[in-house]
Amino acid sequence: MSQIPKSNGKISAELLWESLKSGDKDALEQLYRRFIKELFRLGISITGDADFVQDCIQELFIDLWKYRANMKSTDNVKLYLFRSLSNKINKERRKALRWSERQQHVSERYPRFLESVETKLVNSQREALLQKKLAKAMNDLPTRQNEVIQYLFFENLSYEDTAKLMGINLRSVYTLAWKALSALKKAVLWFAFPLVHYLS
Amino acid sequence: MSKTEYTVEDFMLDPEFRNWVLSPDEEAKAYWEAFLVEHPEKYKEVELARRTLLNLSRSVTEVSEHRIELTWTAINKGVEEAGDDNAERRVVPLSAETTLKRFADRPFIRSYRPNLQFYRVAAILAIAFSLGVLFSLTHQEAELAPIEIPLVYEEHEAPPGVKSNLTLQDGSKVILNSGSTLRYVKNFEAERRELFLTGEAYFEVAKDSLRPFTVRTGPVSTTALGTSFNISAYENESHDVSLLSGRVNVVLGFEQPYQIDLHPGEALNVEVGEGSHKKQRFREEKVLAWTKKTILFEQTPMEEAIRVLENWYGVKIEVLNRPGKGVLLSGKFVDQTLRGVLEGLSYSARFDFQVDKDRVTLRFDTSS
Repeated sequence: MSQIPKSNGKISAELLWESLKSGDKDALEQLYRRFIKELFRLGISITGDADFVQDCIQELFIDLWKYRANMKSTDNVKLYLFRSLSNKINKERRKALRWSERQQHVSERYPRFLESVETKLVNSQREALLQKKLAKAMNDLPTRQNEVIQYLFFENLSYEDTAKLMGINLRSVYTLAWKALSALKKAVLWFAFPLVHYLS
Repeated sequence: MSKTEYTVEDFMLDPEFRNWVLSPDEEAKAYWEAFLVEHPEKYKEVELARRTLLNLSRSVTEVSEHRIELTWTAINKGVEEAGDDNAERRVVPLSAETTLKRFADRPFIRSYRPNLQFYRVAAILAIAFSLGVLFSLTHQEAELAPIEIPLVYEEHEAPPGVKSNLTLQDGSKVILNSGSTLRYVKNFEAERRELFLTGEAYFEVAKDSLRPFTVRTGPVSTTALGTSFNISAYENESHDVSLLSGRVNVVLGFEQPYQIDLHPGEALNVEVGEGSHKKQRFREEKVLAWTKKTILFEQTPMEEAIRVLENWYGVKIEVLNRPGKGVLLSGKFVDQTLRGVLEGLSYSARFDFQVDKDRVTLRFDTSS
């Protein structure tokens, strides 16, 4: 019995990953439980459709088990899972769009609350209405633009990781993010200043 | 590209700029202030970028535990089906004969497998679908409950046998001893940093003169601006506040409220039950021993020692033949096993012990 426990009794996700590769089903469950909330949150904020995301996550984890023997080792499990989910979503979406328009409508059924980029500062610095406006503008962005903002600003991933995750090069990440921010900036301007003021 | 050519978007994409807006430190502040002094024409862009960044929000949906469980059930189902499949595929032919056999079988398998696979997938989808339907029929309301944004509490618990190191959002560091709980408003409120502690913790408070840092332990509140101190406030024991550096103000919320300032090296010892207190000097070595994997008993009453050991190792200790008068224990143990500690104590205190997983029995020698 090891008497002095580690400062936080958690096994690292990367270790769990290795156990999963060697066929440990518990490791799969532990990984699921550790990342499920983040995966749902990310998926839903990209697609706005919880049922759809649930299907994708289900498939993702079943695939992990099926192809565990061929999986590469990774030093960042979270990133790997995010990437797999992003791929799934984009693939399934293309398929789904062909025969249904159930997207978007579904999203209204679920309660939503706003999560801000800024967590370290005091609440009073934010402006509630503007936040709402920006969240709406985020929703209206094209999927890939929405995604890039999620990763860079909300998940705090580096440009390199974001590029890897989205399977595009650094330059494209930057361009995509630039476009998205440009749209978001406009939302702030319309909100904040009289139009004339802006044009002057 | 030089920063003077930055557009609003470029500012937002600059990680250093983001740092300055979202988690400013002295260095960043100085840098960007100097930048603005030199390039006042950039003020408009910088301000717009800052405002957009501060308010950038996404709407998120908190998934219910139910959904999480249902999803896992569906995955588990899928995994069980897939499990068999994988086992078949992993057969390794050892001889030429088996290899040939395998190829002889192949046409048959080929016509058979995709079919089976199809049914499996169909079954998984059917199960997932019906679970989904069932879920949306029965649990819609649970998920519709509105989620309140203000005053979300964050709670950290170090169960017996575990210590945990935390860094709070304001940069303060906390080491939480075993069997202790720390609760606070997520991200803190605008004008104060308030935490609720049961058990023991060591605090290194980040300076923020606008938001005092207050730790509440029952009727005792300890307020600091930027200091390091240790608080031990286990149930049914005296509450001890020991100050290492800086200055704290302790308010005792008894019937007659009382305020005391502590200076470094001083400890306040409060008997919550009796409503009494006394100030004394303390030795840093003793108070902070626990943060350095050290158990230190100095004429410690047996009850307290047992509580320490139970928490430290996550065990339950039972005492047989408990001696009539209070037993005081002494000893210093650095990074020791439970057995090692008990062995060390058993000679002077005269007891035998038995360890059975997480149950420990001490039997005192009554012959003396």
